Amino acid sequence: MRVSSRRAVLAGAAAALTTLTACDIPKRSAATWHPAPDVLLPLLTRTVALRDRYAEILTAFPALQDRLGPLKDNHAAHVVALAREVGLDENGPMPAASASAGPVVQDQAAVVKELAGLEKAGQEDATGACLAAPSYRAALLGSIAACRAAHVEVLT
Amino acid sequence: MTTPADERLVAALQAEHAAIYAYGVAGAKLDSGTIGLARAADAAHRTRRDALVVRLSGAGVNPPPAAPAYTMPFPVTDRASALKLLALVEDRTAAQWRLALAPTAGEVRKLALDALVDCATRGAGLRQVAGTTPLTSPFPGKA
Repeated sequence: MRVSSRRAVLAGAAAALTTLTACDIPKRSAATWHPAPDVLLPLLTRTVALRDRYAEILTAFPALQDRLGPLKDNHAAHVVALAREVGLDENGPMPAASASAGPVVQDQAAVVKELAGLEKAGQEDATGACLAAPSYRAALLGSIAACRAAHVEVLT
Repeated sequence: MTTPADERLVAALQAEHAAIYAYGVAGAKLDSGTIGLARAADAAHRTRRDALVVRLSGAGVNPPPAAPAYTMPFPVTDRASALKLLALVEDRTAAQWRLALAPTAGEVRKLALDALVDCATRGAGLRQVAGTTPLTSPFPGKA
């Protein structure tokens, strides 16, 4: 009986100590812990923009679905993979581009040309990211660059 | 001593040897509309093979020679099967180059990335002339 009540006192003291510490630590860590944003976030943002531009163009030109739909799906897969890589929930909100790409011109050849230009720039974007990346990200980024290069091939 | 990067480059060289052989097999079954594409691709693979041989030799690694013959995954009897073979060869070569990205850095990673990009581009072009879909995959070189 005595032993157990002493234990209870000790346990109570330990709990009080925990409570005190718990009050203390968040304040301190909030002041000192500033995680740097992931270096792949800008690439993810631009990948979201690329996917969304395809969606806009497909809304304006449903007849291009067979040709452009699979390419848009590839970009959507890149968004998911990059979101996972930076630790974002792939089903949650994505970082959005600050400016819209503008209205879709009513000329089928012109929109395909626009997309080819975006793919080329996107290929260079992913190439730079791959060459600068640590080992564990090189394959993912290299595949994204290669996929965009293949898109340029089928659009031109 | 062979580094992990060297081992990946040796595997990429073996894939390039096999690709060059496959282009030789397929070339005989292609028509005037596709032979130009295949010749350009074959030349690109030979250039890459030569660059790899130089790089490996320079690093003190003995570059493996091509095998005398390679077994084709299916009979190559006409234009369609020839284009199917070449698209498959580009996918397999892409896979080896993709594996070379992680253990390399700087200009060697650039070499591997350029090769992966070229394989993916040629694969898409081959599927386009063959009329097969999907033309592209989201992660070229990934199994």
